[in-house]
Amino acid sequence: MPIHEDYNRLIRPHEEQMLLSIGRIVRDPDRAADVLQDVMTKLCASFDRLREHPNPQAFVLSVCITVAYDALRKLKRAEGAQQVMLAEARSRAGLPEPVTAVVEREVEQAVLKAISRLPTQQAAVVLLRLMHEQTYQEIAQALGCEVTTARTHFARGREALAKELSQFIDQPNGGNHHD
Amino acid sequence: MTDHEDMELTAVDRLVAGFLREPLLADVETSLRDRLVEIHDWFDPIAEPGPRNQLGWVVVIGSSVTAIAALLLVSWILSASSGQITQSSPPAIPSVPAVPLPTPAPAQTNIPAAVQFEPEPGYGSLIGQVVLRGTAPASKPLSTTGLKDVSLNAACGPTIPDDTLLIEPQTGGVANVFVYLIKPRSIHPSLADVPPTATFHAKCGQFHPHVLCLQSNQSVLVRSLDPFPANVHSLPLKNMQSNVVVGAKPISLSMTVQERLPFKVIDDIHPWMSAYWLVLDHPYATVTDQHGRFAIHKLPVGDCEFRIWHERAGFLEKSRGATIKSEETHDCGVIFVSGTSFK
Repeated sequence: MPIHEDYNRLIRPHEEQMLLSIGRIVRDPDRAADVLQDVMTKLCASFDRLREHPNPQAFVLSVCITVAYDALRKLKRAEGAQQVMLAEARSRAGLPEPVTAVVEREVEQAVLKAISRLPTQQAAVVLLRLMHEQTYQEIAQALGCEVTTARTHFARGREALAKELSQFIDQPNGGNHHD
Repeated sequence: MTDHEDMELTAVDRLVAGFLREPLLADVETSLRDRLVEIHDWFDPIAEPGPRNQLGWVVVIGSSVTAIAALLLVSWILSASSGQITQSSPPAIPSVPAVPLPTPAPAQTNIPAAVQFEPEPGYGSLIGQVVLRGTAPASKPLSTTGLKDVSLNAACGPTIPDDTLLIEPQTGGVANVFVYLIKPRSIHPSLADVPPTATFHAKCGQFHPHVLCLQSNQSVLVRSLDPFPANVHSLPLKNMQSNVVVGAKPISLSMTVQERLPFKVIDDIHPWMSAYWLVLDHPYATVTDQHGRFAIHKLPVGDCEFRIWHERAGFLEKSRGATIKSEETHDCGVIFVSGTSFK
């Protein structure tokens, strides 16, 4: 089957979710567009796998999330280095530290930073689950692992996030709520 | 989230999910959608008549492709045995591809053909031939699984031949060797006007041309002539790296600074694909043809130094001198290269 037909069949139906996945993780217009291109490049290179995958949607989304997550990590590292340089420059100039004006922005940055610090597999599971509400079965299919492994990754990722974001959570012990 | 356990959301889950399920920022969404439109071009099945007609032909004849491929294979074997030039190594090296090998990509230079062979006072030419001495390393196909597109595999064959070392079986001439002047004394007026663009494309799992000489004020129009995208990822030392995915619609890449050496261009989608580009600030560069021959014309008279470089061997000559005389051709003769030079 020609590749453009494969594209229409396997990737095009998930484009909206792909854009959401990438745009929600990488909140910078230019970087997000580059991530989308990288995702498509990876998918083109993995067409054989995609054709035979039991859950193409989960596979496509997992590629989006993994690539976007890599970009997020790079972004956060660069921002971290920039902040250190700015702090040093301010210190040399005798200027006070800037006060964060918008709390929501601070929380958003903290969430993204906390995700960027997770190991790759944990981040992928957490993002597939919390962003796309994928089941453990679907996540396991997408990542090629056991369901129990996916559960473990999620539990550990959640634990790490709770620790990182404890200051923003009302219940510090992360008390469970039944929806 | 389906089962009971999946219904549980902790405070941290709600906090993280709250941010991860927000609508996209307007500028991010616009940028993503713009890029998506470009990406759709990669997969556009409607394109220029040449390559698409070729594909359409393949689709129409369907199962007859196998029969034609078999006939071509037989004819290729017959022609190879009668001494015709192919891309494979000398006959001593057993290397029989599964399908007929395509014709090597023609070397592309910036010297207009119309002005190449006219002797002119104050200018001369340089010619020579690069020939293999000894045994060449065995040639293996770069890929035996072929392209992702099934219909294209039917047309091009699943085996991608090695285009990194092309040796003419009869003479041992080495193709695709860069020969270029280090620094010319002056530039002939007719060569001052450089074509603004050079073309470069991907087809049947290979880049064409495999080697490309450019000038620093030229741009390269890159595209894929296959019905699926190709990635053109250049790795220059001084110029800006480019990493674009192209479909049928060409994309222009500009090279602004002279490079000391040819640099590699790869495809991240098809990892076996590669090519080499050389960017210079003068037009006195060429590549050897399939017989290993090269010629540089309209060189200013006087002493000059040139380099000879091959992608598998590096410098064959780092600095070779020649004296150019007015209206004469300086023949460098046969430049022998040992088979062990090629990695």
